[in-house]
Amino acid sequence: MISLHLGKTIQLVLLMVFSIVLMLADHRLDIVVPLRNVAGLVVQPLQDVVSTPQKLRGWFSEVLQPFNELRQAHAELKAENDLLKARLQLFESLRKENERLSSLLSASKKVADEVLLAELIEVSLDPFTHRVLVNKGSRNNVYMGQPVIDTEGVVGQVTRTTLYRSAVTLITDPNHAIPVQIRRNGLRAVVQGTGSAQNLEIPFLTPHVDIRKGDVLITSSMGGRFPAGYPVAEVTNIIKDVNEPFLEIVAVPIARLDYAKEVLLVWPGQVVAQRKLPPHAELN
Amino acid sequence: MTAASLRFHENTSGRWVIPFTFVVALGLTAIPLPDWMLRFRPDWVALTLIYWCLAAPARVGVGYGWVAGLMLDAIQLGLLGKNALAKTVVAYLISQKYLRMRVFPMLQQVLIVFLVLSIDLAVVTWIQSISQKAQADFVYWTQTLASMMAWPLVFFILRAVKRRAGVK
Repeated sequence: MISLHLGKTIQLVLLMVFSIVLMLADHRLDIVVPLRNVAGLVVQPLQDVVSTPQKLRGWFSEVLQPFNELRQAHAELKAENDLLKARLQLFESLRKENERLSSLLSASKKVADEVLLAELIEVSLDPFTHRVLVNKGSRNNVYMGQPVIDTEGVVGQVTRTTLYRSAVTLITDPNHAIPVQIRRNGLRAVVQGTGSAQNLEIPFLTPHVDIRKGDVLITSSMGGRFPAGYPVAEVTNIIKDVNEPFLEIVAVPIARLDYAKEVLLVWPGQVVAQRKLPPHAELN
Repeated sequence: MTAASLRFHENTSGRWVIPFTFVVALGLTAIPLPDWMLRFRPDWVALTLIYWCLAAPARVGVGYGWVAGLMLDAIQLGLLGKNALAKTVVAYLISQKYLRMRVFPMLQQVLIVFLVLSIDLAVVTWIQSISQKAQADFVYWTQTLASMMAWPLVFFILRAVKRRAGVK
């Protein structure tokens, strides 16, 4: 192995120093990215092997599903699709109207977000964090801090990428916080993970603010990482303690963090500043 | 077969057995488990490392520990170097005392394993608490306790592997 002629203690000290330098570089700089990519490629086959049983189970349960169940599921999906399409018609006209109105106000215009479907790889990561592994990496232009959603709401953000894999930190991670607003009245707040899969907390709201049980919190685009408007959490409990300066608010994530097999990586649309119109122009 | 060729045979077969056991240990660490079982998953990589530091001190030492730790960091997509540092310390502690520990009865070995893994845990949580929000939790200890319980199992399995493969 490494320098067999040196004494063990010297080896230890050298490797410790090297580890510390590596950690500092990994934490602060981008120079470790090639090393991380190589290490990721080395362990990738092992990750694939380990996640195979889960994959096979999913495949079998699909293949062995009885015909009438499949037909029923198909009918349900079709009905749901029709319903969604009908709703989308309305949405499209609303979007156009919104665009027109905001151009009248010469407000900035937003290009639609782009998304990419990514599959979860069933591999357990660091036991002290709430993270999942997905099968898209920097080869697919996934970047650090990229928002991740599922069909219901916000899942989390990308915190590590290698060439073909990336780790997504969930909103329930104790180190994760996300700026939100209440959909009902636009009140701004922050949603923090607690480390428990079903609990999020909303700190620093004083007792006089207007927040109720059942309020839906959506992303506010403050902080510039998450695009505005995606649902994050629903308030389930508000505890008022007269001795405390702030309310203790508990919320549950809206995204199905425990059941998700697939997530969507989001590339937020750019906000484009529009040409300022003269105040009296084109109001006919 | 002459004695020399036999020895040669033993050496080449043993060369692959040790890395292979580490790969298996890494795989066991990465197997997905439900949340409540995650807390009781032994640190297979550390246990494997401790075994080989005891059984083959000429081959497995701090360098091996560092590489194994780095692979663990890579597979968990954690901070690169965190487990590398911790496992280097584990390998160092064992390889300083392997002669004494070899002759200990199993119960005493288990206690030593617990002690060494506590140091491993201390290093990891220490680094964790510098790089992010600390989360003091009993969860940490359940893993160390599980590793301690798993030591006899790892010891007997790896000893059988070692004898079968003829690792010196």
